[in-house]
Amino acid sequence: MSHALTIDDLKKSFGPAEVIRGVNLRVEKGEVHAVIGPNGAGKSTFFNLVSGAFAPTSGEVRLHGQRIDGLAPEKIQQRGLARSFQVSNVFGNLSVFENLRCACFKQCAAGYTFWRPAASVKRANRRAEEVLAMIGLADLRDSPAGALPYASQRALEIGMTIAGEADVVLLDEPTAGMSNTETTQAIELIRQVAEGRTLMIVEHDMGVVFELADRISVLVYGEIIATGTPEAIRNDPRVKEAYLGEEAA
Amino acid sequence: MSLRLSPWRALAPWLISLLVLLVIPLLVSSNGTFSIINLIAINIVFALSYNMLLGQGGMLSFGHAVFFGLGAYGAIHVMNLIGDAGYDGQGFWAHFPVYLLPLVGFATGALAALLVGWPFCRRAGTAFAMITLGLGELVAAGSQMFPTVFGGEAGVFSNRMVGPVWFGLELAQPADVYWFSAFWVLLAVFAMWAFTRTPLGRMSNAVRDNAERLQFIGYPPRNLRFLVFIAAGGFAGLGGGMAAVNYEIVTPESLGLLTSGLALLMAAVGGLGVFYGPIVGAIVVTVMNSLLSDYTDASILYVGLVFLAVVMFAPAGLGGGVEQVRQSWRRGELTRQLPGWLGGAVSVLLIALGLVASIELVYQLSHGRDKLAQVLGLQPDPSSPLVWLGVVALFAAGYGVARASKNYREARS
Amino acid sequence: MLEIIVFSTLNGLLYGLLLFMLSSGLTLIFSMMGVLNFAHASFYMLGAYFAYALGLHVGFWPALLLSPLLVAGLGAVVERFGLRRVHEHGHVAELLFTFGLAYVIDETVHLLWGSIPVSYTAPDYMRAPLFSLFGTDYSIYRGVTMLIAILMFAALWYLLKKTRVGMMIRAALTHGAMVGHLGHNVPRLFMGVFAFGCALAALAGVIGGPLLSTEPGMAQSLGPVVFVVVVVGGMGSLLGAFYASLLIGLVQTFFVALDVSIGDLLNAVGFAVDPYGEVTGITLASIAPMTPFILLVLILIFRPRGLMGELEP
Repeated sequence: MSHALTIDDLKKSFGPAEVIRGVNLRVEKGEVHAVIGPNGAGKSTFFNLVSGAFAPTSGEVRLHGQRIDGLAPEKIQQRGLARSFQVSNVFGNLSVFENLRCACFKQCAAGYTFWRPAASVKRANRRAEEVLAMIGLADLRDSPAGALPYASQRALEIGMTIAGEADVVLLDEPTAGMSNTETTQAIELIRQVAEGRTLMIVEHDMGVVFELADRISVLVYGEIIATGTPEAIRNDPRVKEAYLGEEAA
Repeated sequence: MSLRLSPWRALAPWLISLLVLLVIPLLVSSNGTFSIINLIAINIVFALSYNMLLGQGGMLSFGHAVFFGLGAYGAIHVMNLIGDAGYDGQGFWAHFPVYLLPLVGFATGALAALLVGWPFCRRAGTAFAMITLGLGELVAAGSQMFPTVFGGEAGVFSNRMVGPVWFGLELAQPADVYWFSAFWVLLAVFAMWAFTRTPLGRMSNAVRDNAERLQFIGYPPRNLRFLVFIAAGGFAGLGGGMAAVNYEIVTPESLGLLTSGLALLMAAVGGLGVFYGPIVGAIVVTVMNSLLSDYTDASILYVGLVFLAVVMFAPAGLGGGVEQVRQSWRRGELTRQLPGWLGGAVSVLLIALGLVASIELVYQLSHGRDKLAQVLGLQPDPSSPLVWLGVVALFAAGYGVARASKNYREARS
Repeated sequence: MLEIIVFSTLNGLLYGLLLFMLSSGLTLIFSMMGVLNFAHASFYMLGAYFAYALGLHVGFWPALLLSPLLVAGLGAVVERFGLRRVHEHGHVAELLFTFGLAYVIDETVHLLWGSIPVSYTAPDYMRAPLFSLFGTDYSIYRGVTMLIAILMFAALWYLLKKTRVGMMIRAALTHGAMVGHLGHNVPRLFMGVFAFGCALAALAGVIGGPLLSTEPGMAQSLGPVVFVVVVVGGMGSLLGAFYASLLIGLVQTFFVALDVSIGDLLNAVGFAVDPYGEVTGITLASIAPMTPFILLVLILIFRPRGLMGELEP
C-alpha cells in the first residue's frame, strides 16, 4: 500500500527545548490515523510542522512522495493537505456560506478574481452548498460565523478544511469541548469526511479515537512510542505505562 | 438577512441614487451649492476607496492621500498636456477629452500603489499603519523637492476647458462639473460595490477577519492585501482625478497626513462595516466642513468632536446605526427598541449643545464673538455665571437622559 | 568644519534627548496597554502651551513643574473616560480614538492661542551664553535642558528598575494578566502609566517649547517623528527608543547643518554631475525632514522588529 504521508526523523526545537524529537510515521492512503498522547506530548506542534505553520528544525515530511517540509502553509494546501484547528479559526464576520465558499476558491483558481462576481464561480458555489449540507448547517447559511454556537463552529471548521477537496486531512481535536450528543454527531461527520480521504486526527476523547481510527500512533515527549491497530495499542504495555496507565489505574 | 435579493431589491438603491442625481440640478441653482456637491462626490469616492483598505481589508492606513494626490497630479499634468496639444491639434492627447481624466487618476494611483505596496503588505495592523504613515510623510515632504512635478507650495495649475468635447458636455461652470462628478461618482461607487461581490472582495474580508486561516485555505495574505492595496490606490487616484478637474489646481497638501486623516474620518464616521457607511460619512463630514467654516472658526474642532463621539459611543458609525434600526424593524422590534435609541440620540444632542455652547463661549472670551452666535441670534455674555449655569444644565440634562435611556435599553434587551 | 561638527553634535544630542523624552512615554504606554497613542505629541504641545500660559502668572520655573502635572491629570481623565471605554472595541478603535483626540487637542490649541507662535521663552538670564566656541555661543538654557533631560532619563531608569511600582510595571509589560491575578489594580496602573507618559511628553514640551517654537503646528510636525523613533527603536523597547532618538536627532541636525547637495556628494566620489540639476541640486538640508521616514521605511522593510525590539509590530 502506498503512503499518503511519510514522516522521517522530524525534529523541532524552540530555543533549547526540543519539542519534537525525531518522529517517524507512515500514514497509509485512505486510512484514518489517530495521534494520541498525554498533554504536552507535542501533538499540536506535530500538526503545525506537517501543515506548514512551523518549519521543522530537521527531518522530512513527504506528501504522496513529495517533500513538503518547510513549505508555506498555502503551498502545502495547494498540494492537497488541509487541516482544521483546535480552537475554532473561522472568518468571524463572514457568513457560514461565505466561509465555505472562500475555502473553495483555491480549487477553482478564483481567489484573486476581481472581474466577475463570486456568485458566478459556479463550481465554488456548488461545492460550498454541498459541504454546507454535509455539515448540517444549511439553516445557518447566512449567519455570521463568529456568532455560531460552539458545536456549529466546530462543524464549520471541519467543513472549511474539506471544502478545498484536499485528499489528506488533518483534524486537530475535532470534538474538544463538545457534549455527548454533539460528539456523536461529530463522529458521524468525520466518518463522512473520511470517505475517499486520508485522515490524520489528534484527539483526546478515547471513545472517539477507538471508534474512528484504523490505526493509532502514540506520541509521548516528542517521540512516537507505538503505532498499530486500536486493538494492538490497547494491549501495548508501553502505551499502558506511558499513557493509558493512569486511566487503567 | 438573506443574501439572495430579488433583482428589484438589488437594483433599488442604484435607481434611487440615479434619480437623486438627476433631481439635484432641478433643485439647486447656486454655484456655491454645486461646488459643495462636487466636493461631496470626490470625497465619497475617496472615503469608499479608503474603506476598501480599512473596512473591507482590515488595513489601517495613514497614507491613503498619497494615492489620491498622485492621481490628482497625474490627471492635472495630463490636463496640461491636452491643453498644449490643443494648439496644433496633433498627437494622442489632442484627442483625449478632459472628461476621462479620472481614468488617468485611477491609473496613476494604482501604479503608485503597485510600485510601493509590496513591502507594506507583509503585515496588517500597527506595522501597516506606521509604514503608511511614513510613506505619507515621505511623499509629502519629498514633493517639496521636485517643483517641476509638484509645483512647490503653490501646486500645479491647469485649465479644464481644453481638448475635445464629447456630446456637448462642457466643463465651464460648477453646474457643468456637476454632471461630470455625478457620472464618475456613480460609476466608481458601482465599481467598488461590485468589487466587494467578487471573489477577491470576499477574500479581502477573509484576510481582515483571520489572516492565519487564509494560508490554510491556500492563499498567502500578503498577495491578497497587495491586490486590495492596488485597487484602493486606483480608486483613490480616481477621486484625485475628479478633484483635479473640479479645482484645476493640485497642491502638495493633497498628499499629506491631513488629507489621509480626512479619509479615515469620513469612513469611520459613516461606518466601516457597511458598504454605504463611508458615503454617509463623506456627505456628513463634507457638509459640516463646508457649512460650519462659514460660521465658526471652530469647524474643524466640531468635526473632530463628532468623530470622537462616533468612535466612543457608536463604533459602528452612522451607517451601522442605520443598519441596526433596519434590522430591528425587520424583526418587528423597532417599537420596543426605538424609545431607548431616541433617548440616546436626545442625550447626545443635549451634550453636543452644551459642548458647542461652551466652545463658543470660551472662544468669545479669547477672540470676541464668533459668527455662529450671531446666526443663532444669541448674545450670551460669557462673563455671566447664569450663562455658564445654562451650559452645566445642558450637560446635566444630557447625562440624565443618557442614564435613563440606558436603563430603558437594558431593561428591554 | 570642526565648529559644525561640535555644535551639530550638541544640538543633535539635545534634539535626540527631547525626542527620547517624548518617545519614552509613548513606548511605556504602548508596551503596557498596546495603545499607540496618536495624540502623544499633542500632549507635548499642551505641555508647552500650559507652561506658557501658567508662566505668565506664576513665572517660568513653577510653570515648568505645574504644566506636566496638569497634563498628567488630563491624561488620566482621557484614559479613564475615553480609552477605557473604547478598549473593548479593539486596538483599531483605540488608535482611532487617539487620532480623533489629537485632532481635537490641536484644534483647541488653535482656537485658544491662535495660529501664530506664542512668545514662550526662557528667562533672560538663561539665554546668556554658557560657553563660547569658535565664536558661537551655547546658551545656559540649552545646557539646562540637556541636564533636565538626562536627569529625567536617570529618574525613569531608577523608577523602573529600583522601585516597587517599576517592578509592577515591568511585570505588567510581559505578564499583564498575571499582575492582575496577583491582586494589583491593573486598570489603575494603566491610568497611572498613561498619565505618566503624558507628563513626560508635557515635560518635553515645557523645556522644548522655548528652543523649538511654541505654535499650533508643533504637534503635527513632531508627532510622526516620535512614531518613527518608537518603531525604529523596536516597539516597546525603551533602550531602542533611546538609541533611535539620538540617531534621528543627530542625523537630522547634521543634514540641516551641512550645506551640501546630492550633486556635490556625487561629484566628491568621482561622478561628474551638474550640481544644480533638479535632483542633484537637492541639498541635504532639504532632505533632513525626510530622513526619519526614510529610516522608518527601510527599517520596516529590512528589520521589522526595529533596532532593539523583540517582536514585530
